[in-house]
Amino acid sequence: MPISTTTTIDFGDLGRRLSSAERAVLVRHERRIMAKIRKRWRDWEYKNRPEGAPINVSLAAWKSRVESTEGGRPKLIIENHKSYVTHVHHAGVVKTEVSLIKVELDDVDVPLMRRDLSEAIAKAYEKPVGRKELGGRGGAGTARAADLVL
Amino acid sequence: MAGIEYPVRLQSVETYLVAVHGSARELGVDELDVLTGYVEQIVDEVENAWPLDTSTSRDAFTFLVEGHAGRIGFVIENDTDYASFVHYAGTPAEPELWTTLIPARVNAHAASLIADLKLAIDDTERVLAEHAAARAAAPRGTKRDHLTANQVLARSWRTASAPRRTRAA
Repeated sequence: MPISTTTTIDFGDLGRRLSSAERAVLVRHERRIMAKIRKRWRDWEYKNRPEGAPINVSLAAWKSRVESTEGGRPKLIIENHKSYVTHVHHAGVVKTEVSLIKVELDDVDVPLMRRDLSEAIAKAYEKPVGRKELGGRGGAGTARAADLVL
Repeated sequence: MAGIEYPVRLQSVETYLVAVHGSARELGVDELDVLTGYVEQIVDEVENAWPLDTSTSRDAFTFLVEGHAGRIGFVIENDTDYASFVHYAGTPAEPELWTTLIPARVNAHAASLIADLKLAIDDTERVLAEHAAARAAAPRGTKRDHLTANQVLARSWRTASAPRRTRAA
């Protein structure tokens, strides 16, 4: 199964988008967490996989984004759409790698992110950002550019 | 209205890889790390320059790196349905901002990205050659104790004492 995990940090009715400084805190944690996931997502055995066959496929498929707008609930969304990703585990380890990562995120990384973002919001309290009406965000097609070849 | 996808193909790296490896191959994790680091930087810069109202479309930028034999590069995506129409206040809607901003940020990093990726490929090729030689020299029946090329490419060979090489500034 593919995985998509959304971490929502509830600051109650913040009622506005995050400021640039606050959002930068969220993005910094996003980058750190994704680096951690990518660092763990390696050292696979690839038993019986012929040389030249695709490897590191699900490693390259990890992606993330933040949401700093809706309803004052900042979000970090981490996704991997490869169909087998929730079954992957290291040789000799019973638990899947996704479950181990999730525990670490919940126990270590999300609390850190929550703490830092709370501090940033408290600091910026005197400089509120204007409330904005939100429109839709999806549903239409996608414009794809031609390859930029370098 | 439409979301956007901006694919970048590093054909010069593909060509280099074929030249040094002898054929196309998948990127190893150290090479993917180099590529990912650059794309993160490029996406950060695109986001920082993106016009801001609600932040919805700025938040929606994501990327995927591609390290397959025959296709090395990355895709910058934004699934907000009006992303292709976002432009700076007071500026014309044409040319569409994403078609100029993204390539500008990519091109700003292209030379160093390509050079650093080639260095990482050199390092990986060295490790691949060492392991291939050790495997070839291993006595019959013990070859499975040595890493295959796939296993070499699935590991990081950078250590704290030997960090990723970067070009001299």
